Amino acid sequence: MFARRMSKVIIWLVVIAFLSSMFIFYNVASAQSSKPVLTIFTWMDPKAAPVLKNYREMAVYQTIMKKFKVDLQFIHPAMGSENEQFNIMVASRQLPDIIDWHWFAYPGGPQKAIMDNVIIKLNPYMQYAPNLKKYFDTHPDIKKMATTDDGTIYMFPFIREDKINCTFYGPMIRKDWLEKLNLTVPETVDEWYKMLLAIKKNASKLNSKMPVYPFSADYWSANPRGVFDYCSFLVGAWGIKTDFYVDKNRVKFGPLQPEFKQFMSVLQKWWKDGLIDPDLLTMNRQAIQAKIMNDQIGAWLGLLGGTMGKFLQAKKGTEFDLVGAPYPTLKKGQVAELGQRDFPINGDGMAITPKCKNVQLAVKILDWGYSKEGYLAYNFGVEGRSYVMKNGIPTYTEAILNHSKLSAMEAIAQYGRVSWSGPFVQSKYYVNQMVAMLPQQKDALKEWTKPDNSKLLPPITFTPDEAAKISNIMNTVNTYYNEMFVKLLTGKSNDMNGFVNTLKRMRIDEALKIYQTAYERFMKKK
Amino acid sequence: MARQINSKKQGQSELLRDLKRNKNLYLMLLPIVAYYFIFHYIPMYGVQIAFKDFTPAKGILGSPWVGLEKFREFFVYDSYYVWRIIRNTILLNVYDIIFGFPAPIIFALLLNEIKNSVYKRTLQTISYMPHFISTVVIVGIILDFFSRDGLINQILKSLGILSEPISFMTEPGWFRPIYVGSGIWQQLGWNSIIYLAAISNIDPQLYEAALIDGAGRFKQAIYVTLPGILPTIVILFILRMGSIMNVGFEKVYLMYNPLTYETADVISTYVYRKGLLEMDYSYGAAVGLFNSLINFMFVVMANQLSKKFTETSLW
Repeated sequence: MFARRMSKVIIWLVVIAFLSSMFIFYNVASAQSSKPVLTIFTWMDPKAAPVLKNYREMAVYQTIMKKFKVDLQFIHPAMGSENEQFNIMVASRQLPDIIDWHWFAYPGGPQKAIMDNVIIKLNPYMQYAPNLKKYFDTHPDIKKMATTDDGTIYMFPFIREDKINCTFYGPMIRKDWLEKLNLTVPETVDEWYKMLLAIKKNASKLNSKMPVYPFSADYWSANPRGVFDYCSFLVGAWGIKTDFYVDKNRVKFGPLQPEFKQFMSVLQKWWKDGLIDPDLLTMNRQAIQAKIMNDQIGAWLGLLGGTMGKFLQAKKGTEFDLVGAPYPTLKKGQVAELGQRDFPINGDGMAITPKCKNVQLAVKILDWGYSKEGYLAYNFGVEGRSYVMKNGIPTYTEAILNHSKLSAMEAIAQYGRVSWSGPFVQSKYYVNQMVAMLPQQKDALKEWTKPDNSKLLPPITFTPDEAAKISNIMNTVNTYYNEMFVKLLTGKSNDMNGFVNTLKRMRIDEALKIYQTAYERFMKKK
Repeated sequence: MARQINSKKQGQSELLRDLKRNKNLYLMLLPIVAYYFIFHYIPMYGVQIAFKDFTPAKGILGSPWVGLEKFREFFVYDSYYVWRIIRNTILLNVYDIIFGFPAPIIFALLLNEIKNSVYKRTLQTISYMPHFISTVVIVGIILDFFSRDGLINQILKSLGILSEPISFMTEPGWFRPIYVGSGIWQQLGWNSIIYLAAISNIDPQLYEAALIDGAGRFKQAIYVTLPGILPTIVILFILRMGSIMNVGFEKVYLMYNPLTYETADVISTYVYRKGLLEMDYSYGAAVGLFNSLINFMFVVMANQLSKKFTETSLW
């Protein structure tokens, strides 16, 4: 009897426990504070990671919190999976108040982000943003790029002050190796090939301990195609790009051009002769940087500060020396038509979400970045500590430029976001003083700014309908193209016609039409 | 067991009486039913987004219907991928069935021949240990071992078999062998347990009879042990067939990269990339639904087979 009753009790307990476990809702109690709280989703930049756990610690945000009597809470996605976490955040509607993102890269563009109710239209709030408004009024070209075609303001954009802020990536070569092999800096596609071949042949002379790979790239995408999209190295010699570009007011797509074949065959030859680092295929940045460090790479594409500066500093006192090479051309004496050049607006910026209860405050805080005070704080940090005024020019202190343990960019990350992006105008003095500190960097910058880049497609925006169609088509196309790029590069496939036909079946022509329409609209825009 | 209810023939009173009589049994059933209802049936309401142009802003109900548009997109415009992901899904399973299914059976037969019980038990324990290691750790080990400068390449190099290291993880040709091989290594011991249990149920008199007829150890294994566990093998095989369109998402996702999509990209990973990474939720749902349909067909087929061979069936 007792056992039966006990078993009944136990069964009931199990049932109750089970059902109640289903109805537990987690209530995340936010820290009670008297100040208004704003939550900001922003990625942790690799340059900030060594010095900060959270952007709250950054001097510029400490200043904002004091000045505006607000509590800022930062949400940092795990490094390396920012995209996934952004998408999950958007899909689950767990939005913070402010999102810091690459809005041009939002599937369907910024218009779509507004339609999806991820961010809000800022035009009605511009009265609270006098500084940005003033900047837009005095720089109509910037305003054109930072707004959608119907004039919607959707973000507090990252703005680059000057042309020299827009070029910071390109080809660099081990100068000491060139000297060892009695070579000059290559200028044409053929000379590049000869140089890489010479490095390959004399590998044991250059590095007796480890295998040498003549060519690689230090870049942050998952696919080698991204590098060529970004800086048009090699492909620019034929006057085309690997993605969309403009030729005489017509938007074109690189792979559909006959010249693409010639570019690909050169790359294939490089691969076949073992001139390309196999890690380039997976764009394993860590592995590639380790190889550069171990003297295993002869020439590579990389950042002016983050690669060139970094390794010149790290290898100080050794033979290691670098030279910035010009973008290769077909004939000697030409200047390449295309190189890396970003637009003053690159799509990075902070936007406000519909979840934000205190839009006015958020706008005020973000707008402060465009004031004189904000300019100094974001770019230079704290006067007397990270910078001093010399002849009216803010100048970084020795403590920043020659930090005992950190690179200059890591050191300044404790103060502001100048070395990546944010809602402010990036100073040209930053480039002069920090990005191109060394003579090698200054020379490289001279070479890399030579291409006129008139064929670059400006940052056009799409209507929501266009954007939906474009993202539909281009997602499929890009996945396929990424794969084919690697296959064509490694010679696993040589079927250029099949490649073009598949692109056509994936409706690339329709995408081109939409691009053309959007481009014409952009050019007419005031 | 509760008596079977046939509510068509007998009235509600019968049902009520049964409910009363077997109150506790129904009570025990309740959590399971609730679980399935809450976690498997309610979410099905979201499947409708496969036929809509879903945006999170408008919500499931607010998004406009587009009919079979998303399916058309998949089969017409993305036809390049359709056959590839279906082929990869099925092939990974087929290889797994061809190589992975017999392996634990053979292992169990071999283990059965070992007479020293301490040795046998130790061997068994060691062999099923890997089953308890999580997929993430296993794949981490695989990536380390098979990298260009990993253990495997080092060994092959020092033995003089290779001059240039093989990039195992970026060669589409290597993906399937590594995937299936590591799967066998991980699950061999665990899957052999059920066969060992079946073997221990075989009547010892059969072995004695075989011995008198002059059968050696090998013949005994072939003519007594194997037929003895055949029903178990058939049932497990049919169950395995039912999941031919399912590949463990995590393992593929952790192991593949754009260079091996050609052989590694399966339906579930494609749905993940399209649906979550590219935010095309409707498209992802449509492809997932299509996958479920094929799965359903396989289950029906497996059930028919099982009716034919084993007299036990789901319906």
